[in-house]
Formats: sequence, structure tokens, C-alpha cells
Amino acid sequence: MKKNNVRNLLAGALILSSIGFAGCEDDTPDYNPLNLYKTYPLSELSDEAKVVRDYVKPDAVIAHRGSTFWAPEETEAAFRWARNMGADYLEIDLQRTSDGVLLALHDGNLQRTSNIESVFPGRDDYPVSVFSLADLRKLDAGSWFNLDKPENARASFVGQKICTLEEVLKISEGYRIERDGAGEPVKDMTRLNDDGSWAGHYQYEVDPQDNGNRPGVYAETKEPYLFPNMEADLAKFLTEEGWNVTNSPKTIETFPGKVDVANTMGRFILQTFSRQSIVSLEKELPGVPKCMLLWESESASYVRPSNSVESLAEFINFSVEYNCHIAGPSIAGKPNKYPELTLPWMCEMYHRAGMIVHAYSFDTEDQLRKYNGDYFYAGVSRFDDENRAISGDFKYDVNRNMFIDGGFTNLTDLSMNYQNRSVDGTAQEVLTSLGY
Amino acid sequence: MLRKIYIATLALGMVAASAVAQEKQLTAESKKGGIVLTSADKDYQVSLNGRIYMDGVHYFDDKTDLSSDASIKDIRLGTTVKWGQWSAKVNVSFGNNEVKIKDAFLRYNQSKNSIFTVGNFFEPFGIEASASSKNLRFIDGSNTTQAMGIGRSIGLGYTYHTDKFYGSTGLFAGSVDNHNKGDQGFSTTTKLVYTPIVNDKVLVQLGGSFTYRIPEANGFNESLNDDDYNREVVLSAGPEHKFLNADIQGARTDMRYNFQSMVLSGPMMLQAEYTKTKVTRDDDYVSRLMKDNPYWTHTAGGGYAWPTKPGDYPGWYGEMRDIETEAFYVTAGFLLGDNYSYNSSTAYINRPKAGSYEFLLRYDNTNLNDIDGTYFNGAYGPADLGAALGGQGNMSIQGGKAETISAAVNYYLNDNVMFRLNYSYMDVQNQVYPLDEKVGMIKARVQVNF
Repeated sequence: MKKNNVRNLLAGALILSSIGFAGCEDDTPDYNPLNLYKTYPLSELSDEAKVVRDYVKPDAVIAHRGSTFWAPEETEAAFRWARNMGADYLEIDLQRTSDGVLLALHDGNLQRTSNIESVFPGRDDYPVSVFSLADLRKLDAGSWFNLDKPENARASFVGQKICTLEEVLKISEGYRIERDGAGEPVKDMTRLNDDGSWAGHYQYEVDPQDNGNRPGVYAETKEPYLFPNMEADLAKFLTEEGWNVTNSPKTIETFPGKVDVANTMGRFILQTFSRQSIVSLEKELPGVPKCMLLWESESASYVRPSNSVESLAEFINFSVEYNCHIAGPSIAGKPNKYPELTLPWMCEMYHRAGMIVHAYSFDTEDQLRKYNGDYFYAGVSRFDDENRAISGDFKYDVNRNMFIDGGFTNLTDLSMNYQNRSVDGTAQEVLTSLGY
Repeated sequence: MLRKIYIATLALGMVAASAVAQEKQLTAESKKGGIVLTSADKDYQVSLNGRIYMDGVHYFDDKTDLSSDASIKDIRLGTTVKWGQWSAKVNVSFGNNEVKIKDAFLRYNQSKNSIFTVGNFFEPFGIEASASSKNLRFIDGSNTTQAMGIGRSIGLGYTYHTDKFYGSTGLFAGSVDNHNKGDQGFSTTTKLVYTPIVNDKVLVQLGGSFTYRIPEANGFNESLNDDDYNREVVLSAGPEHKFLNADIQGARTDMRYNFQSMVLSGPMMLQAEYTKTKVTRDDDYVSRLMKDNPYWTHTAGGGYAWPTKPGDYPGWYGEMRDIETEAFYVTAGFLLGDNYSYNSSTAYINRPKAGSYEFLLRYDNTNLNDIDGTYFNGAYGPADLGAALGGQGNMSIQGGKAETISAAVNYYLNDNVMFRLNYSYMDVQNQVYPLDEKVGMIKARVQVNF
């Protein structure tokens, strides 16, 4: 009996101690993005989609709202400057007036970027869509900039107007708004409303200070509930203007040594944060390059910081399903301090799906260097030395897919200099040469 | 605090016992390894009981980190006192540095097979859910039981049994652990079990349980309306309750149906349970609350409030429809050194005798999903993709689905000490944990009870 007990006790002890050894060799890597990003299941863009993706030139310099730093954003001044400065794309936010005119304007209302409180008191917090184009032309969309950024203020910014999409296309084609002797825009009285009143359009003239650059346009659509059927309106408008590359695009004259994006298949790029808009854009403008903009927040509509690998994969797989050729993630750093969605491993995921990366938005040289990978190469940029060598032991395979393919910038001049591209002068000199 | 109360009660009990002992002579004996003090006329009895669970668990193949560890999973100390037909039991748990009240009840034994109970005790529901953890076949109850079993509640119950029949019913208020503000829930639960076949060779037991519950309130919702609150039903199971976890908000009533069966034949046994849970929901809970605090937004034409009419809120965020989930398990067992025997007073299996080895295999299938929408990035939208992309919500419940195969070896050293070793392999499907598919775990326990 005693022997039995001892034996049984030993058996029990053995069983117990076996837990310690049973699962010792655990070869499952810890849950960590750096272990998962290479193998997480991702779809890939189809061959047809990749053809459209390749319409977009590498290292695109995308002038965010023209410029938010050197001139009042999304005004004629900002777009003319960005064009002459050498940007590959003029970037805009699309909105629509009550009479159906497509605008280039960012904010939901006009309080920040105009003098609406003086012109329409009591209606200053109304959305843009309740105003007609003619009404909006009464606003001064430039003076606010002189107060907001006094170091870059110019007298000629006073009286700048809210821009239409049509004007942005025209500026990119080398035109400007015709102005009279007093500097006021000349109304186009051939375009009238049904009641005979002026519809709000201005006349154009060939820009005497145009330097031959022909940038493309990169336009953002908002959530459809704000502007229902915006995508259909945009498709119709672009086709009419000859800017729909899938439907008889017009030929735009370009010049050797100058930006020529406006005359390529990549002349117009669509971008949005809204998945609903992506679905509509794919329906209305299939075959036009599209960018899925990304932001980080703990909600279903954005990349969730709590489980970024799975969340990013959901967005990437959705993007591939609806033919988004470009990923548009935010970058970290001053002055904007956006969430970091352009980490090397994230870029590798975008590229693994066949997308290219246009990150937003670049304001400093440090940001340009960081997201182009210069700090892996002892600070040497790819534009200075194509054969730069990796400097340092980074414990992973440093490769081109870790970095961006283009960037939205508020300082086109900075990006141009970083890429060693020729410019017509400093930012201020270009503005002055344009007459500002 | 509770510890102090317990110690004080115990001390009082001892003093009372010794006081009574002065009137009645008490003999101390050891019954089943525990200490029992009995009076000469057998009318009065005090016994001390306790448990120690010493556990070790190791997880492997998990992408989401699970914590492998060794722990003193539970320590129990308790007292049972009997005066004639009355008895009382106090049992407190000190596991994981928490003090929890387990059994704490007063019992009137009208006769050997007719018992009234009032206090905190097991609601009579299913096999595993109404059995003490020391008597379970595996270290943990199946996922079926963990998710949908009930456990202890404060209430009033009656049990009647014969050789072949066991019936128990009760009316219960909420759980002793509920410290939320808002009214407590209540429930009524009934278990009926019958053994149609009882002979030398085989015993077959069939039974069913049903519970109707109003869930506990989950605190006041101060931002909406102080007098109303959200009732919540959480069904969860598995390692750290991660991969199977359904949180059903806005619950109104909670009904569970359970079918059980046991077949015992010599050293072999089969035990199975099927449970279905139906949670009805409060359709327009938030709309009703928001009537006093609507959202305003300013448009050109003036302002508007939302929601404006009943149905606005569920129309956008998704209808709060009733949720149904189900689970089942089957366990097969083999005893070496004893035969399985049935205890009709508990409708459960007796503890195998000292020196026995028990081998078990269990298959568990637990589905905590009730989905009728489309999924993207952690949230559900309506089945119509356009509506889902437009931002409309959907109140689907995604608690995960898992099939688990477990194997166990139990060694019953004697009536008070046993060694347990379990291995489980869990096939997980849960959209919140898309990378976790196969989770393995090995558990061991040294169990002492007296």
C-alpha cells in the first residue's frame, strides 16, 4: 500500500512538472507588427489597375492647396505660384455651390478663409453648399492670410477670390483670371443664370507670367452625404473640359524642360477619405488614378491605432478591391503632428499590395529626408546619389519599398530643391514675378 | 473587509460551537478527510471545509499574447453547521487576491429529499454550471458552460429528488458580485432531470433546464437620463475570455434553454449538454433617453434635432434585434480502478474512489455570433453595402466561434487530493482576433479539498 502511494505520488509529481517542459519550444512569434507585416494576407492590384497606377510619375511633388504657407490657400495666387514653382500637381478639395458649380475650397464653412461675417452676417457658419457662386464671389478670400501669416503677407492678396475647379484647370493650362485696370476680376457676362443675372464666372486670359509648366490636378472628394452625386458631376465636368483621360482627353501644349503632367494620362488624380466616395468614383471614373487617404482614429472609418496591422490590411484590401492605386497616409512631425501612418513597415504593406505611396503633408526638410529614407543612408538623398549605400546595422532588409513615392507639400519650393529640380527662383521671387 | 467579516463569523461560529458544546457533548471525527464535530444525538454538527487549487497553464500557438503562469487559482475556507433540520453553509474564496463569497445559504431539509434553500447558491441550470468546480471532470467547465452557464445567485430555491427524478427550481435576484448602480436583475430557473434507465449495466439520464432572466443594470447613464440604465449580457469563455466574448448591450430579457444527458456504464461515461441563449433587446432605448437631450445641428433653414421620431436611432445605428447564440459539448470518460456511480440527490456523478485514474475526451462547439451585416475594420454595417459605406450601423453581435478538443487525465489520490492534467486545442474564428486561429494550452492542477 505504501509503495503504491509513493509510486502514485511520484506519478503525480511527474505529471505536474511536465507542464513546465511540455510547451517550452514556442516558435510562434509574438504579436507585433514587425513580425506580421510581411506575411499578413493582402490582396494585390490587378494588372489593369497597375497600368493606371503607372500613369502617375514617380516622385510627384503635389502642391497641397497650392500652398498654405506662401499664399492664401486654394486661391488663384496659390495655384499660379505652385504652377510656376514647378509642382507636378495642384491639389484641391472639391465642394459644390448651391447652383452646382464645383469649387476648390477646404473648410466646411467660410469663417476661417474669408470675410463672410461682414458680407453675410448671421450666415457665417453655414456650409458652402448653401451659397451660389455669384454670392461667394463677393467674399475676400485673401485678407485673412495677411493677418494669419504676417511674415508672408502681401498687399496683392487682398481681394483674392474663392476658386472654381474650372479656374484651377485653366491655371494649370497656362491661363489666369483677366483683371481690369483696378485689379478687379472681369466678369464673364456671357454666362448668366436663368433670371439673367451674372452666374459668377470670370474671364480668362493667357497668363503673361506663365513659365510653361503644365501641372496636373489632384482633387479630393468629401463624404457623399455632404455633396450627393459629386462624383457624377465631376465625371461630367471633366469630360466636358477634356480632362477625363478615359473619355477623349484634350491635348494640352507642353514645353521641353517644363512640367508636362497636364498632357499625360495621369493629369487628374482622385483622392478621398470616404470609402463611400471611393465606390462612387470607381463607378463614375473608372480608369482614372485614385488615392485612398488614410487617417488614424479608433473608429471604423479610420485606421485603428489599437490594431494597426489588421486595420491597415482592411483598408488596403478595400482599396485593392475598388482599384485605389495610391495610398495616401499621414506623416508625423512638426508642424502638423499628424498620426504616423507612413512607417517603413506600413509602406512595405502598401507596396506589397501594388500601390504607390503619396504621403501628406511635407513642411520640413527633415520630413522629406526621413520619409525618403535618407537616414538609413547616412543622410544622403537618392536625388544626390542614386547609388547611395546603407550606413548602419538595421537588422532588416532596407529597401525602396519602405519609403514614399511622392508627397503632398505646402512648400513646393522645398520639395523641388530637395529633388534637385530646377526652379525659377525662391518662393518669394516666384510670387513677386507673378505680380504679387 | 470581507475577509474580516468572514474571520469574525468563523470565530463566532467556533465560539457558538464551543458554547453549544458545553451543553451538548461534541465528538470530533474525520469524515472524508475533513473535520466534523457531531453531537451525541446527531442533531448538531459543525464541519470545516476548504480547498486549495494549485494551477499551472502554458499556452502555445497564440498570436495574441496569453499569459502562461503558475498560480494559486483558488483557496476556499468554509463552514457548514447543522441544527436538526436546518443547516447553513458559508464558503469564501481567496483566489487571485480577491475575496469572493461563494456558497452562503440557509437550508431547511424538510425531509431527506425535499430541501428549501435561501442565500447565495448555484442556480439549478445544466450539469457543469450547477456543479462545484472541485467535482468537474476537467479543470475548467467547457466553453459552453463558461459562456452560457449561470453559477451562483442570491435567491430562494426548492429541490426535490427521488431515485429517478431530480427537480429544482428557484427565484433569484442578482449576483453577489454585482456592484453596479441601477436596479438589480432577477431570474427564475428550473432544472428537471429524469433517469429513465437504471440497472446494473447502464444508467441513462435526460434532463433540461430553463432560465428567464432580467439582466443586471450596468450603471446609470448620466449623460442621457439618470433614471435609466443599460442592461448588459456578457457571454464569454476560453483562455482569458478573449476569443469568445459577446457583449450584448441594451438587453431586456435573457432566456436560456439547456438540454443535458448522461450515460454511465461501468467504467465508461458520456456526458453532453446543449445550451441556447436568447437575449431580447430594448429597441429604442437610446431614442427614448435622447428625447430629453437630442442632437442639434444648424442648417440654412434653421435647426433640427435628431432623433426626431421613434425609430430614428435604430434606423441609423441598426435595429436592436434579439440575439440568439448556441453551444454544446460532449464528454467521454473512462475510469481505471472504479466504476462511475450516479448520485440522484445532486443529479451528478460521484467522485471516483481513491487510487482511480480517469481519462477524458471532450469536444466543445461554442458559437457566440449572431450576424446579419457586413464587416469592415472592427464594426458592422447593414447587409446593404451602400448603406454600410454611408455610415449606417448594425447591431450584430460578433462574439467569436470556436471548436475545442480537450483531453484530460485525473488521478484521484484519495478523497481529498487529486492531480489533474488537461490539454486543449482550440480552433478560433473571431474577427477581432483575425490572426489567432489555433490556440493550444496545457493545464495542470493539484487539487486539495476537505
